[in-house]
Amino acid sequence: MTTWDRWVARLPAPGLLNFLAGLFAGTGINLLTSSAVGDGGGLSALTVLDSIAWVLGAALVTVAATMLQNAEAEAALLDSPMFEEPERREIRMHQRRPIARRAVLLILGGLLSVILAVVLLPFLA
Amino acid sequence: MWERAARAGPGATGSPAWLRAAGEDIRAAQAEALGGTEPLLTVQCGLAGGTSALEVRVTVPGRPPVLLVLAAADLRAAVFRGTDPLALVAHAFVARDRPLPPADQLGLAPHAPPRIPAAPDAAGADLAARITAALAAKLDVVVVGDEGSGKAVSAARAARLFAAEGGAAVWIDLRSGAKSPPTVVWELLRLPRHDRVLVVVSRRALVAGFQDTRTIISRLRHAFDLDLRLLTTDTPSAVAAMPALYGFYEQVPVRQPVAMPGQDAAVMYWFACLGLFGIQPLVAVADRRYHPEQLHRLQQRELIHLTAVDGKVYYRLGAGVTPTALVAGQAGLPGRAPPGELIWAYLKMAGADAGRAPLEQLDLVGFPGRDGHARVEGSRNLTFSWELLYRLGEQLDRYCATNPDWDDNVGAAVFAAEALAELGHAEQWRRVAEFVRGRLSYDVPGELPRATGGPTLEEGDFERIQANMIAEDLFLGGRWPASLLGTGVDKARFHSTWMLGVLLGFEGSALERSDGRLDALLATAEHHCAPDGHFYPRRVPWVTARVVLGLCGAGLTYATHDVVRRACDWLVRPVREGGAYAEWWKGGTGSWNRDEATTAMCVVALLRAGAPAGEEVGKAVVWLRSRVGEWTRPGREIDLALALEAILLGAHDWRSSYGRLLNLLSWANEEFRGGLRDLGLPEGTLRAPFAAAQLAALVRVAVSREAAALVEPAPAAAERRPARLEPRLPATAGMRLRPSVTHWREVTRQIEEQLEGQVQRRRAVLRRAAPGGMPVVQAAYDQYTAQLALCRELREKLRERTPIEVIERLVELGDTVCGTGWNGGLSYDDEAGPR
Repeated sequence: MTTWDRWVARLPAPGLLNFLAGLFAGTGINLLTSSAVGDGGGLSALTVLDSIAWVLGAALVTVAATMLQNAEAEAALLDSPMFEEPERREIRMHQRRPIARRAVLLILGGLLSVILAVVLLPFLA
Repeated sequence: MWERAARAGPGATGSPAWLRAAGEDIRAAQAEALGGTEPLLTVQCGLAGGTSALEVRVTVPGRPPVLLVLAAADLRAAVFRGTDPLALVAHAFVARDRPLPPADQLGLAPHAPPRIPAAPDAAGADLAARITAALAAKLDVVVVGDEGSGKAVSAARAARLFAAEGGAAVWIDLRSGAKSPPTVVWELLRLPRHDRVLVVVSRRALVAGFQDTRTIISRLRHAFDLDLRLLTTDTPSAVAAMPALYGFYEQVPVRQPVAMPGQDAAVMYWFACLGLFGIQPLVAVADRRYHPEQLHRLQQRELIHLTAVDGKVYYRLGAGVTPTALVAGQAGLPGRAPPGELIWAYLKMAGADAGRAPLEQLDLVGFPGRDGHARVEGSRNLTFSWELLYRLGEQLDRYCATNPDWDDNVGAAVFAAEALAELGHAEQWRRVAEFVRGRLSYDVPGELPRATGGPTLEEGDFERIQANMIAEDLFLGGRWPASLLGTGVDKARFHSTWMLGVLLGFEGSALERSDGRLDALLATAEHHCAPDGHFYPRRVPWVTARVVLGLCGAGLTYATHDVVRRACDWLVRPVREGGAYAEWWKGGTGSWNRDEATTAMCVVALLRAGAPAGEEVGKAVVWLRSRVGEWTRPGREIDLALALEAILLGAHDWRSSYGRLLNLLSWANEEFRGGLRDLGLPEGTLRAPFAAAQLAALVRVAVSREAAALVEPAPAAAERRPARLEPRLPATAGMRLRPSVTHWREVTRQIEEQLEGQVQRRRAVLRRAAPGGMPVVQAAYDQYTAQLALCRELREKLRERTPIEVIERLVELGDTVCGTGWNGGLSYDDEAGPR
């Protein structure tokens, strides 16, 4: 197994990615709405930019999760109770491999976007 | 298969172009199967309007098409798994709303008829001609004969005759694990056009699946106006046990009934049944049963003779009479009771001492080694049961002589009367019956039984039942409408409905029938049966079961009476659909008639009624056995008696319950000896008479099952075990005798099927990967392919005298593939020592 394969095998589960995406999107939208209706001086361009960064991160992570989920579904179609665990792992890997590069880029993109959003937070005050 | 859909690529999955390609693949698969000939059922494919699905039209000329919609998800799964396209269509036809199972669970496989000997003997040719004549007269035909009597070969011969006359024959063998309904459709889709088609279902191993086959064939007949005939094979006992199923069939017996005048034939059948077990009937008993002129006539024809032993005179069969042939020739004919029933009736008439000897014989013959188990030395269960039961009868007699009204407990009196009737104690029965018939009024059709002269003692039990229901409601919450809650239940109606069932059993088994009362009770049962089949209250299935048992006691069955049919159907209907079944049956009355007793009662009711065998009964018996710790507790003897009957009737290893049967008999004897007392337990006053009634029935059932097992190995047991040991031939050096080469081939086929499944699944996966892309799966595929080749090679080497190495390699392969114990006692551990 190559190093890349080991990384692919360790990609987070779609459920976890979906959970994080929900969290990011929630944060972004909450930031926007609380700034708009709160008494802190209203919406600023920076606030809007920060919100967009959160939501963008969520969107990228969601796309990655969907791709991984589809790969899991394809693997489940081929799976059978007759298979041993190593075979199951290999089938899952085989379905993940073609989309792994894109999924990793999307996850990294999402994380970068979120990091940017976090960095911007102190400037909003 | 699926070349066009696969070419479209995974990205196109579900698109119109991909669906069209899949449709083309389905049509191509049919064309390929037919080799260019015109199909019987034409398959046309198109896009379903507005949905991402494929519409398949199955047509015959001049009939409206049958529309099937194949969802994109099912198509995609079929393409990935490499499922036969026509199998997908067959699955959609049979089970429209169910998702497509994996290919190895579809249960489709082409089947070949058994090899037909070149020159049939006269009997074989005659049977084939009779089957052909029956097929010309009726759509559904069953060939009835014992195991190994040549049913399948004759069916194959008839199928060949059918084909020779321009028809087509489809052969389905359920032994191969095929699922019959989809296989029928699949085979028809691959069949060229014919005017007549015969579906032969060999070895009706799965009753539920087989019923589905008849349903699907009826559907095909109506949908396509096809001349579709069904031919199957079964044993006489199975046909007799399932009148509801086989009532629609023309029955063709393998052997013609023995030619004998009707009356004499029936008498000889009785002698032959007893003769099967070496019983020489007492002249006194035979004279009470048959007219002396008849017996004299048989003596003159030298069919029976008189013989004297120890001062008693018996009849014995004539030298030229073979009881086996006589019984086999007449079993299943109208008016011929099963041998076990006749033996039981004889034992009752013969009395305790005369009855002991035949039972000892049954004990000795019945237990050893039929299923490969060792002889159980000293297992005289039937003899002991008979003796204890006889003693119980005497105790019951004594009790009834002094207390025929059972302290005004009509329920107890009725159960005691049933026990007395079962044991043939007419005098005491009459006294108890007089009390029951006087104390309750139940001669008005449509009116539930009611007490005359104030409430009876057992009505008080229903107060306690109500308290239990209230306690259950508090514990489990209100799962029922207000009228069915413990607080809202109508106690009087509840008691009367239960009493209706009890009285039906009483009048049905009465030694002196009162037709007026029985007819009134039957009319009342019909009147009070709810449209969905339950009896009040719906939450308490044991009331419905009790009424079914009563109706069965009156000689009615699922096949013959609408109320029994409706009630049984309600019992097996799942709770979510308004029925009573939820893997087992819940009592609904808290700690009174708990789930174990209720389940046992429902199982017995369904079995006695001859309801079509579904999986419900089997599952419930398994559950019941898992609860053995509950129903064997002291104080729950009613549960024990009910559970024992359920196991005796429903389990294939019924003998395991004999020990408990003896315990219960001993308990009942002690109970009567020590004086009956109500210890405040549920149904405390009813326990002893109820147990006595049950025990009489239990011993009868045990005798019947032993007798049936002797006449013919129980079909259910034979089906569940892969194989049995058979008598062995003398060994020669370096060779090991096989239990049966046929059985070895059967179990080899099991291994082969396992391996084929393993290989097929992996091939489907590897087809999706680049060469070398999945090394682990590839390695497993190579390993299973090699094992499959080895298995086939070994199968080819199985002969009458198979070299020991072949057998050992086969056993080893079986252990590897199917796990240890796969061969069900076929190996030679007893001869070769520990492996």
